[in-house]
Amino acid sequence: MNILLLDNYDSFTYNLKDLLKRSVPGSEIIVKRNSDHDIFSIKYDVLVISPGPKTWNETGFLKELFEKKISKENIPVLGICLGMQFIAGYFGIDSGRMNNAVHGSQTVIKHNGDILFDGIPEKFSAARYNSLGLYEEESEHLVFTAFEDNSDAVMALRHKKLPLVGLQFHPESFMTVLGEKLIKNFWRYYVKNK
Amino acid sequence: MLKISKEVYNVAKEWNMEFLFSLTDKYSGTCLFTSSDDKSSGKNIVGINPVLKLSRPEEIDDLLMLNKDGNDIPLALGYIAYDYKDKLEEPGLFSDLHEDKFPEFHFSVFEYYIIADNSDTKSLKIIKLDLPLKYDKISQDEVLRTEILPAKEGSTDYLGSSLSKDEYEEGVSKIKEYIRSGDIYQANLTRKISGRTSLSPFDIAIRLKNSNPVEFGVFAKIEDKYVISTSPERFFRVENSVMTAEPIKGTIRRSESEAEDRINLSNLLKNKKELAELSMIVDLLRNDMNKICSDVAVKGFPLVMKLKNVYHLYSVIEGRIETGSFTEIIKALFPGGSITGCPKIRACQIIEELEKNGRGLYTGNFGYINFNGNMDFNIMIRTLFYDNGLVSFNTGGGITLLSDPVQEYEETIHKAKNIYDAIVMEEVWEERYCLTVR
Repeated sequence: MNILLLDNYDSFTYNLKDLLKRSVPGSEIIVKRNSDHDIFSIKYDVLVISPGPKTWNETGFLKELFEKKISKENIPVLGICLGMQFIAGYFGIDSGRMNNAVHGSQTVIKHNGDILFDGIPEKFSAARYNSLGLYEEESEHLVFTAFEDNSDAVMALRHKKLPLVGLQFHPESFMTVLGEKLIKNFWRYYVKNK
Repeated sequence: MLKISKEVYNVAKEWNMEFLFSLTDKYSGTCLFTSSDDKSSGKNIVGINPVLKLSRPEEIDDLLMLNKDGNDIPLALGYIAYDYKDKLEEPGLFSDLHEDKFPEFHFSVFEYYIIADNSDTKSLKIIKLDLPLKYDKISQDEVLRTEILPAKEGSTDYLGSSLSKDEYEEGVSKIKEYIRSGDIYQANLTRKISGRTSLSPFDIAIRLKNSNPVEFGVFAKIEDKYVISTSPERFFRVENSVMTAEPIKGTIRRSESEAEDRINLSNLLKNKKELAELSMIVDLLRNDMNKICSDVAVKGFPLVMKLKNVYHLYSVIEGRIETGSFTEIIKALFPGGSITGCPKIRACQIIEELEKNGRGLYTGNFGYINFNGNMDFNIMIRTLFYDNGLVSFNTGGGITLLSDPVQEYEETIHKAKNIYDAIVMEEVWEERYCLTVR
């Protein structure tokens, strides 16, 4: 299977590539920046959206790619950090400034039993790097599946019908021990059984 | 490109650092020195009489392709200036801020390499290269008879700072706003201090070397200008196909009282701001190494570097390198994440906006490339540049959401103190007035 790893001019993209390579042996991972026209023409089965600077609206051709291809072809998507904020933004929920910005520390995350967290303890540690984010609210399209333990900041979400998953924390960080397990679950339950 | 032959001798010769620096000064050389053996090899490398200049990374690859063999001896010494970054990224990402005093990519193949091991001050290893080019050769006798330059007294007048106190503090506040708005997690902000000195580059180098143990030092004469670096930080090393990066973040002063020294160290190890910054840099360097390495792994976090005046926190990241191309290596890694911020590209853009000047060589990398492909590069911090009586050096720090603008400015003065003392720039109080020079 081919994975398009969309790089939002980020500095963790190749950690994500390494994590995908380890978690999904045999997959072909193509890295392209969000300004690259190739993303409209190359063939891939899964889209992974990297973290990155700025806001979900400042992600090059990503929005256009979603409109033209992703939502029509039912392509599974995993969005990390800015990538999650993009999924939320695309379906009507803007991220704002958080009252507890964290950059480069572990935080405790509590999930609510979504299949993505199969085999993962209800509370687990993961790395956070974000100033912007979102808090739980009513959504027509999205389900929030994990929160920060000591706040109600959203740490994971999925689409109600489409195979779209977002993680606010960073599974690719060396501080996130369960990163590989999460990617394997995403692959098993959202890509293979989409 | 050309094929280089070489001969290696061991000669009995009593040497000290003054001798190595004098050689460097006399023959337009480059001396990579270390007075500490904590992290580095404990060896000093001097290249003298430059006979071939390399001004693009591709030229190094061509030279390596033709001359690569099993010998762990120097092929070329040189540097990449921080301002070279726009040549390695897609066009238009960076502004054209350049500080053009020095060439921005500069490596030399020298006629002689002299290896001086700190554990043996009575002998030298000499490597003489023979290149199929026309150049003025020097004799080994002449090299060994080089007289040590006389030490002279002198002082330096303060000429100003590239950013005033207000501008620096405003820069810190702007970075914090960029962090809040999601542009970056951290950025390094520096300012350049200038002076006019009556000291010679040789004097300054000796004084700086004596003021503090140096891990990755440089004394180099390039087109009659000088680079004097007392860097404690390795950027990366390649040894037998293993790439190692060693980013530093986090510093605390040492104390003469043993009890207080221990408390300081324990406070450093508990400091959440410093640990978060180091974590971020570790992830950033893992990322850059993952572009060209397999099996990238964090080998130590956090580790403590014990220097004479300060403790630093650092980390070791290793990977198996999958390319032999120097061009690919620097495209993947450059500039070093510990002196930009994260995400790197956006951080560099913000640094350009707020520092308003190119950084020149400052925070670039100086090092060596060996015949067998091994290489080792520092991060050019704590580095002074000398051009015909004018000296300049940068000082700065990593700015996070937790930074206080006034304290960060103060910190830039503390961090420069070692250089102030070495160049006898007495009037540090003038910094409070902050004349601004561009």
